Amino acid sequence: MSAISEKVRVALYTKLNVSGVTSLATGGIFESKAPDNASFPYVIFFRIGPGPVEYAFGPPTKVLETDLWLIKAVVSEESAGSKSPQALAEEISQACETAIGNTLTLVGNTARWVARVADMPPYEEQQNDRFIYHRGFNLRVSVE
Amino acid sequence: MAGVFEQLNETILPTIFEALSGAGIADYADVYRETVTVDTGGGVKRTWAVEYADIPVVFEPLQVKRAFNAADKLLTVQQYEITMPQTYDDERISINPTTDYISVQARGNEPAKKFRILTAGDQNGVHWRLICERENVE
Repeated sequence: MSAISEKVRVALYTKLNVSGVTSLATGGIFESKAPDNASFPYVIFFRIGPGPVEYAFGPPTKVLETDLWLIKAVVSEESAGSKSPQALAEEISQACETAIGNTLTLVGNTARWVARVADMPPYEEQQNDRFIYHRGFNLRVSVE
Repeated sequence: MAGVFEQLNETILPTIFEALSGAGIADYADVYRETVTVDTGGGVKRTWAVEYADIPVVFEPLQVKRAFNAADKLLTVQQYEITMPQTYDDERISINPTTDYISVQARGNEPAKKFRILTAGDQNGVHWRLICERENVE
């Protein structure tokens, strides 16, 4: 990961790890992989589309780095509560988008663009005798 | 032969299992069965309730344990075989692997244990031999 994307990773986690999200995603917020003992539902986020770095003319001067991030809810059919896993996953995904908003606080850099690009294609994964639902969205982050 | 199996199923084995449980050699388990509700958006919610309670069972680990990446985390599973009577307390116990799971009751220092049913083997209409899995446990 580049130095900038590492800063974005930390900033995204800070935005996501708030009660508005964790009250729904009670298992926690994790980058790339959840720990073995994480309980459902939880949130996974990671960078999926590193974009080309934009440079200014003259000696190449980095001016903008744009990356695509995936943020998703991972919900089991056995997750507690009365909602269907689809409904709960969508609710968590929405809470993540609300928590992130359109700003990120970075040290030494400025986030010029933070916005949802599109939903991720939803899918279900069989795990033994149940299905795990994955629902989320792609986030474009441009950093100067 | 059918008469012998019937006696085994309905009289002899239930008595044996009860005696084994009473002697502390077998455990007691509950069979949970799911109920499915569909929300206004077509979302499916599964909930479980006890269908059969206090069934004497024995379980033993099989030589199959594996670890793999599932739901973005590491999952380990251990397979077991559970033996339980098909008739107990004058009631025939039906098992559906897709809707049921077994919860062996806690005793002493042992917590309750959840067994996910993979297959239900019918041993001559006398007892069940269930192949099950437990996840991420010591």
